[in-house]
Amino acid sequence: MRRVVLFVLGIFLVCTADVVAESGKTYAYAIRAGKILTMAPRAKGSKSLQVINHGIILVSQGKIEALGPESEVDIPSGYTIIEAGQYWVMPGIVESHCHVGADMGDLNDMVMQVNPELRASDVVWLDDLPYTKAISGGVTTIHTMPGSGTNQGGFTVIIKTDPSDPDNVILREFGAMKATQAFNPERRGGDLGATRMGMSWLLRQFLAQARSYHEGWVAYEQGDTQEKPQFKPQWENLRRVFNKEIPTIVHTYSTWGVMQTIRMFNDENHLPVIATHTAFGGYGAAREAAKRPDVSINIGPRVVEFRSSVERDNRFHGMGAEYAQAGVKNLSINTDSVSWTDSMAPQEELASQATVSARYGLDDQAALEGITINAARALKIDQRVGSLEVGKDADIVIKKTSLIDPTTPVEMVLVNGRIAYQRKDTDLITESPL
Amino acid sequence: MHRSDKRIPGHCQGLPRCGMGAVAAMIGLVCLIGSSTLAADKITAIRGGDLYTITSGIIRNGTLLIKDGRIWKLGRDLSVPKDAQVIEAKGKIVMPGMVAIRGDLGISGSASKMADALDPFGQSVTFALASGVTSVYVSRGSADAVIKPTYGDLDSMLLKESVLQSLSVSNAQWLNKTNLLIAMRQARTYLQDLAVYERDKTADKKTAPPKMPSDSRQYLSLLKGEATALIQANAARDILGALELVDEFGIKMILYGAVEAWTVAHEIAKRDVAVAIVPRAKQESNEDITAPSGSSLENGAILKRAGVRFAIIPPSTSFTASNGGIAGRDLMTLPLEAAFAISGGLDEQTALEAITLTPAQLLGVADRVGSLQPGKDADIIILDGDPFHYNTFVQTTIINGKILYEKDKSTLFSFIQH
Repeated sequence: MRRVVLFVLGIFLVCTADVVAESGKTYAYAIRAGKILTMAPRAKGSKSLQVINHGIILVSQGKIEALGPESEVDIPSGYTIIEAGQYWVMPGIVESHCHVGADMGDLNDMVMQVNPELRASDVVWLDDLPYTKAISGGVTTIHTMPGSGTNQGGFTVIIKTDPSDPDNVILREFGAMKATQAFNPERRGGDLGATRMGMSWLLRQFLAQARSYHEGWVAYEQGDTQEKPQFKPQWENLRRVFNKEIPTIVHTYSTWGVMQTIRMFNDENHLPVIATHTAFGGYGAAREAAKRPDVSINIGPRVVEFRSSVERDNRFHGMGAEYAQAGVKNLSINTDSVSWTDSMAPQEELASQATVSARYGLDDQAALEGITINAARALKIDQRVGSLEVGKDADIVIKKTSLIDPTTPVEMVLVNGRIAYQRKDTDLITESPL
Repeated sequence: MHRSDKRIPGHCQGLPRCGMGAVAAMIGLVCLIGSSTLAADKITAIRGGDLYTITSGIIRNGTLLIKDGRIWKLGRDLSVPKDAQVIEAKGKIVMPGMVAIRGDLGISGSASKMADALDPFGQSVTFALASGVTSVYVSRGSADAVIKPTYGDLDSMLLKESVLQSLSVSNAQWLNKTNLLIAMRQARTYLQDLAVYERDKTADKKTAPPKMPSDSRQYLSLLKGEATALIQANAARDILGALELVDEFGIKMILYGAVEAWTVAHEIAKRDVAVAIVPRAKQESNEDITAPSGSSLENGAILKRAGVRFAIIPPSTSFTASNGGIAGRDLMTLPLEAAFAISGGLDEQTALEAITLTPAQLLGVADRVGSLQPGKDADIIILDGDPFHYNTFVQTTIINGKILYEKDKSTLFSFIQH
């Protein structure tokens, strides 16, 4: 920790001037926290989360500059103090699957069954109200995506929830490749792909072509062949997938669907894959998912089922608990929230999805990880968000108690080191630097 | 939770001896409950729990005695009669069964009379018991009632019939409101004429009784103060429009939804109108006006400060098990909804009242349910933790003194051990 302090001082000397100069406004904060719940990855085999009581977090240039116990972190002069001694300070919540920030008509292009050319980043609408509300629930990163009307709906986008900072809204333009294996695309009549056999063929063929394109270029780039492959823009996007820069997120349900996702994407094509929804007894495949490090499970909007389709047992099943008990570590939780109906969990209630998961048997730590670090890891953005660690984006939530305790409101949220939300009546800023 | 092993003579220990239970077994239903009926003169003691009375604070480490299906006594140093059936509740919370001011419970099919549509074996009955909700206002068509989820016992289900009068009034639909006003004024004139007729009829035998205007029957009980109006109103202008009815006709009223009630709290308080709120309800503020508008998590807290009585209800009023449902937003987690109001600054005592005594009062059944007071129905739930903690579950549900649900003995939630 001493090294951290030295590092901090070094950074301070070099950077303070820049911080102020950037926009005439300083974004250097020191947060005095009653409790810091870092959500940094747990030590192997450890049951408890990393907690720092009476800690300090330094924020500058949009990043977490330092954090540690009060005794080990000095607050440089010029930093605005955020006095949160009575509060918990936690990382911003990461939404792993939603459709806010765009209209349904703009997200489901229903002509072709596979659409590798399409990007959700082309239609993100920063005025969208459900999107702008997200931050009031402590949600700072959202993964918003094409719908599930076709077998491959295009590419998702990962955005931050501070629309007042449009330059920095997009965290990653190609969030993940979106695919759909069960239920929704089946509603179409008559076309190839209306059956599950047909859908499986379409996706297999699609993946084989994309992989072949990618491997052709890899061979050329590595000098294995002099023959330059033909450039095809629609397949170019898929190279990110086969490079494993970005994951594939697959809308799937039931044991059949989850197994199909695991086999087709991970076993056959060696891709990191997020099986999303996974309800209606999908946890029948939980043990198989647990065996594969590149498979992650993303539950929601349904997080509880009654009398599973696996066993007619007349009991409720917490889906999170079912997957966790089968050994699934890569577990995240979503709202699947949309902008065009309020019949589902709204974006700002993502924490409630974790609360309900915990209620129905998932342990509190895993529920918290499911909306922070695990969601970030599944999306391969954990070097940026999902936990409070030095060098990561300063996306920070301040609240009286745990993120998943519904009896206390979110007081303040920082996104990219800027105060992006404050609850009315909250006044945590006690010292001005200048 | 350990109950005394002592068995009561005539006590139902197996399905074949329970009339209703036998029916259930025959039609292949799984009996989810420990069907422990108690003999009428037997006393049941709930011992050692923290008694959340609602009306007189919390009695720590108290004892509650049940006799003849009603709460007999409660306090700290009560002696437990020797032959009482004892429910140990040490470390647990004992509170009145919750009351929902609207819900889908125990009704199957449609009928013009609620009594004809009751289904004591319905899934919603089992789920209500497991959720700790023991009185629910149900309306279907023109019929309405407060119903208890007394599993397998048809006769105990109806607590009260003809409870509220639903009215549709919105300033946005002026024709609708005008028609309502015309009908209510006609009904009022009729009542005035009727009073004059009643007063004069012995003196002047020739006077004919006034003719009741068509369609005014439903307004008569409201105008006479015998019934309470239930009005869905979310926008402030609709709330104010409804309040005009109170000003003109002096009727009793409950506003349901009341998303913008916080913006007109004092107007509501002035007229002693009650509301039923959904604390997490969302409505965008109106950017075309400068006055406060839209939803606020502080709705409950502000209404409390203004002195308005309110009940809390979740966004969905079903007891949901269907896979289409998003969990945590319906009557299976009523305290979770109250938690949202607490996060908006409401105190816990008022939040507790808003899911027990206040809805009981608004439904006119507070003489029977809604608090732990001697003489009230023994509708009691035992919780394994703070009522507003998300991991708290109902351990035992008692209605009319009968244990109808025990978590450990039910398949529904027994797997959950926090």
